[in-house]
Amino acid sequence: MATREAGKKMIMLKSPDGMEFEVEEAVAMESQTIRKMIEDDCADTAILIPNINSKILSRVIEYCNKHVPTTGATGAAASDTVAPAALAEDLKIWDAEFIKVNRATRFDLIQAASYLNIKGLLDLTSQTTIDTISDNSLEEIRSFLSTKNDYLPEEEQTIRRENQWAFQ
Amino acid sequence: MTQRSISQTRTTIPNSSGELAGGRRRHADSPPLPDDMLAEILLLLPPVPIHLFRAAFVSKRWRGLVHDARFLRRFREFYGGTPPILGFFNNHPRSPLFIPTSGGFAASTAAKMSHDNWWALHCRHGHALLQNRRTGTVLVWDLVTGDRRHLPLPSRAQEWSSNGAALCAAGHADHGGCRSCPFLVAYVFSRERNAVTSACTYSSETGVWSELTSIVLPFASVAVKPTALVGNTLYCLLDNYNILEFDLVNHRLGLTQKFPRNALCSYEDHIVIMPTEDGHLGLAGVEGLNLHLWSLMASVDGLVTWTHQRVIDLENFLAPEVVAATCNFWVEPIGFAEDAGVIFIYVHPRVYMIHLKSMQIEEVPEKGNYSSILPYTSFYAPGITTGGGDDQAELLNNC
Repeated sequence: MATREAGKKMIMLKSPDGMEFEVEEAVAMESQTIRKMIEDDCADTAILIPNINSKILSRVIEYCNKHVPTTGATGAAASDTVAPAALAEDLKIWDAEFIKVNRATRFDLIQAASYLNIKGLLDLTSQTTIDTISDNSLEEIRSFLSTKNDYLPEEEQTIRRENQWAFQ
Repeated sequence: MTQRSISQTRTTIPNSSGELAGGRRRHADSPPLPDDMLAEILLLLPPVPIHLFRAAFVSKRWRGLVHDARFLRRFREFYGGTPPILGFFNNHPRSPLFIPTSGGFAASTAAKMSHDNWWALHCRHGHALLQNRRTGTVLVWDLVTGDRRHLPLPSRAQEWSSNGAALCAAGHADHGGCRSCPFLVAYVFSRERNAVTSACTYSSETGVWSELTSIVLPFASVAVKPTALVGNTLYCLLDNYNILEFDLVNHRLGLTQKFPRNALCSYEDHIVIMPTEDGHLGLAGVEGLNLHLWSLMASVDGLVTWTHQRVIDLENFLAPEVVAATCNFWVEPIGFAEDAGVIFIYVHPRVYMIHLKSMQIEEVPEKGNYSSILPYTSFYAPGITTGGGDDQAELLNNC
C-alpha cells in the first residue's frame, strides 16, 4: 500500500514468497516496469513482483537504493560536499562489491533486472557475465554457465580444422 | 549520500515445505539462463571473431544462438556495422604475407604462405583476393569461414602486371552477412609489350570471365598498389601515377582526372587511393608530418577536380622518438581499411593505424618491412561446416 513517511511517498513491493518491502517511490521507479505501473495508476495497493524471490528482490532494492539519483534538500547537500566524479567512483566500487555473488544469484539478478527493466543493473550483471566468458577457458565457461559440452570429439576436430585462425 | 529506508514489514512463508521459494535453487545445478537473455548478453561480446567463435564452441545450444542470422545482424549493428581489423596482407618479400593485428586471429595458413607463390590483390567485406604467381589462378578467400574459391586465369592474360578486386554481387547494404552471396571479381592487367591494359570480370553466378575490354596506355601499366572501389567503378593506380577507372556496369576503361603533379612530388609519389566516406574517390599522401586527404569531387559548374579535404598533423599522434626517426625514414600511407575507416601509416619499421572518425591511433605490434598493404576486416561468420543456422548446423551433426 502506498504510504507516506517523512514527506516521502512510499510504495510496497511484494515478493511471491510473501515478503513485503516498503520502499520510497523514487527508489522503486528505478525499475521502468514499476515506473510504468505507477504512472498508469496501477499501483494503488502493494505491487506483487512475480518470479522474483525475496532474497533477490531485497538485493535489487539495495541496488536501486544506492543508484537512485539524489534530489531535494538532502540530495543537494550531498552533491555540495561530494564531487560528481567521486560519487561515480564510489558507485563503481560499490557495484564491484555488489556483484560479487555466486552464479545462481547473478543469473537471478540478470533475470530480475530484465523483468523489472533496470538498465544499470542489467548492464552490470551482463557485463560481469561477459567478462567471465571472455576471460576464462571453455571448460570454465561451461561450468560457470551450467552448460554441458555436447560436441562429439569428431565434431570438435572438424571445428578446429575449419577454424584454424582461432587456434594459435 | 542519504541512506534510504528499506523496511521489511511482514514475513510469511506460504511454501508448504517451509523453505523460501528462491532458497531451493541455490544448489549446484541452477538452471541455465533462458535463450533470449543469454543472447542479449552475448551481444555484448567484443567484436573480434574469437569471442563469438568461442561462444559457439561452448555447446550446440550456444552455437544455435550465435549462428542465428538475426543475432549476427544485431551483433554487427551493435558495433555500427564497423568490423574489426584482424590483420593485413603484405606483398613485401621480407615480411610475412599476412600480419595479424588482433589477438585471437592467427590465420597461420595465410601467414605461412610464400611470397614466391602468392600475391595479395585486395580485401573487402571479409574476402581476400590473391593471385598465384606460378599458375596465375585467382583465389577468393574468406579467412574466417575458411571458404576458398579458386578461379582460372582469364584467357589471354598470360603476360601481366595485374590488380583487382572482389566484391559482393548481391546489391544489399549489410555486407557483414553476405559470405555466401554471389561475388564478382574485377581483374585489370597490363601487357607491357603492346602498351595495352585490359580488364574483365568474373561472376560466381555464371562461373565465367567476361570479354576483355582494353585501352592503349603507352608507357604505363597497372601498379602494385591498393585499388579503390567507389560505386560501380574500380580505380587502379598506374605506375606513372595516373589513375585508371574500370566502369563495372558499362564495362569500359578510362583515365581519371590527373592528380596534381606538384602535390604528388611533395608526397615523393607515396600515395594511396581509397573510397571516401561520402562516396567519392579519395587519395592520401604525407608531406613532412602532415597527412593530407584529398577527394575527387564535382564543383557547381560540373568540373571534376581534386580537392584538399583534410590535414592531420601526425606529430600529435606519434611518440617523440618516432617523430625524430622521421628524419631518416619516409612517413607514408600504405593502406586503407574502408570497412573500418582506418588509414595505415608506415614509419619504418613501425605501422600505425589511424581511425579517421575517432582519431585514435594504434601501433601494429609487428614491426617490419612493408610497402603497400591490404587490411583484412571481419566480424565472426560461421564456417561452411559449422553452419550458418540450424539447417546448416545439421551438416556438422552429420559429420
